[in-house]
Amino acid sequence: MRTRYRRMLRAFGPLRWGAVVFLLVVIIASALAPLLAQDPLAQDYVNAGLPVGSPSHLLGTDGFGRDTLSRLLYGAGVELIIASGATAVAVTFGTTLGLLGGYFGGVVETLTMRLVIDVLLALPPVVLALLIVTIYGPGVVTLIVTMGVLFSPVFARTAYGQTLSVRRTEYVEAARAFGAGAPRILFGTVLPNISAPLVVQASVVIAASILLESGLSYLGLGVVPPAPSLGSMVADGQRFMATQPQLILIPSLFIVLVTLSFSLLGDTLRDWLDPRGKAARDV
Amino acid sequence: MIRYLLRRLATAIVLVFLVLTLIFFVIRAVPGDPAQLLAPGGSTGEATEEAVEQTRELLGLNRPLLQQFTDFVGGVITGNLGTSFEGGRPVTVAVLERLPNSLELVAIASLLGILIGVVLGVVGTLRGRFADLVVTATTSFGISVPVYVVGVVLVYVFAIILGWLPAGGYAGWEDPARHIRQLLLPAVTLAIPFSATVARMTRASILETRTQDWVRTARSWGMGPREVFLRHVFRNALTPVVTSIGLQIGLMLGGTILVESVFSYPGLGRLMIEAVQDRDYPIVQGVVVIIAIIFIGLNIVVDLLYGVLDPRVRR
Repeated sequence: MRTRYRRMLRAFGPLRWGAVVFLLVVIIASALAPLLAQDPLAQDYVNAGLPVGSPSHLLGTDGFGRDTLSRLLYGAGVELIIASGATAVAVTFGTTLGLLGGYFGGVVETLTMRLVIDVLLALPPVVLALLIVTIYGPGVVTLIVTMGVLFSPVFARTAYGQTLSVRRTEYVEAARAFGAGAPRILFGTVLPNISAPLVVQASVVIAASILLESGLSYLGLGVVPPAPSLGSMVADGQRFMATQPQLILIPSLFIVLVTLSFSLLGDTLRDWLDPRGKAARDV
Repeated sequence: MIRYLLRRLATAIVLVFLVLTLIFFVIRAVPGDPAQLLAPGGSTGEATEEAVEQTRELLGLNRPLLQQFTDFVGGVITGNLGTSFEGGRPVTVAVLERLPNSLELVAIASLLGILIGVVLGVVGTLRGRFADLVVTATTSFGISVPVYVVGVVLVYVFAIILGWLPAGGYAGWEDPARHIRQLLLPAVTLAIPFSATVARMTRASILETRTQDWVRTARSWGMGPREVFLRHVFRNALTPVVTSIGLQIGLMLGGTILVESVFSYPGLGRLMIEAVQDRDYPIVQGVVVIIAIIFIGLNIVVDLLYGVLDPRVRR
């Protein structure tokens, strides 16, 4: 227990602590947005285009006089809900396929890994997402389900490879000898033993979901306007770029900080949960 | 080698077929009537009876399912991707008109990205903590920044503040200087996240190759560090990088969709976005099919290249 704790401390450097603290602040602030922030949709033409540091609008206002900080907080909240929802769908769907394919092999493997995963990997995620949005229209639920399916191959492949390598180990054989059924072995014995790399992948996928979702919102095809989202803030700001560059720079910087923090978190988790991987990389 | 090639081709054809099946069923899996949903005004539920009927006719949804499927797959094989909802233009014509622009953009971005990425990756393995730190920081940033943010910020710096390059648009080859100036910002935008990935792969691969026995042997023979690096480390380290480059170039086909929107560049991506906004389903479907075929084709090329570089994988 003690070495585990020490290993955790070593995995976090100052920069990584910074990332964790930043993410926590963003999560708490966006969860409390209804209390902290102003109405992100309230237009106020008298106070349109205020600069950063105005007394009642800390980060200024946009071309419609909407408060930038409030839009940022609400946008971040929606973004985090969509990204974590999509990641949860991807983990569940992908891991199940990978476990089944890896454990049973044969026809099951063809059905899961070849027929579903390889087909999903045959297209860039944005392209397939746009196809779905054309049919079903944009919206939060559509985004969560679509991106969840699109990002599931990462988890399926990881789970598949890991399952292959543990399915002949003594402890799995022992569980089988005790008469445990396939579901019990898969989710009770195999899954806990292969979960570390899946957790690491999850933080990478959250970052990827944020990149994809904000891109779709930038195109006006993600979160439905006028609801605030980070991508559409950049798109709206583009019109006022020459006179008010802060309208693109603030949301851009914010998105980069959030995705960067998630990938730093991923590195940290990997060093902490999978120290052998670190040793191999440090050579 | 021929057998390896044929086997890869067969797999690719099966994969294209499966992707077509997926696209075919995505639209038909809509709860209710897809024609109702896709007809003009359908998303708000106020499509007229004729509009729905016309959409059904255009998409062939009134025929038996099996016939629809064979028509769709047969159409793709013979180069007929259906007709656009807007003005009844053949989708193939609309797509082929825009395709060269996107391919040019992706090709230039790939060259730029590979050059920058490999150099950065090699620098990242040099002795001393500083080079490593700079490269790691730059590539982490490059991977975390959304491609459209790169585009918008580059426009702000190079078009608005400095005024060196145009903020967007396109010029034909009749005016080569303008053509290149127009292409420069979108290509650099697309190349930045790509080069960050290439740099990371290159760095990791060199670090790993360096620990191999044959490198130690070469060193123990008294070979100079330059020669060891060029002949034994670099060449072998590049093989896995090639695979990842292939996949990344494929993903850039997705990235162009956003970049073309930032720069109003008339490529395949812009065509697709306009079609998504107009809910012009046949065009969207056509673009998806084309991108899937290019993507899968690219993967075969990479596999073959891999086979040439590393004869062991041919079996």
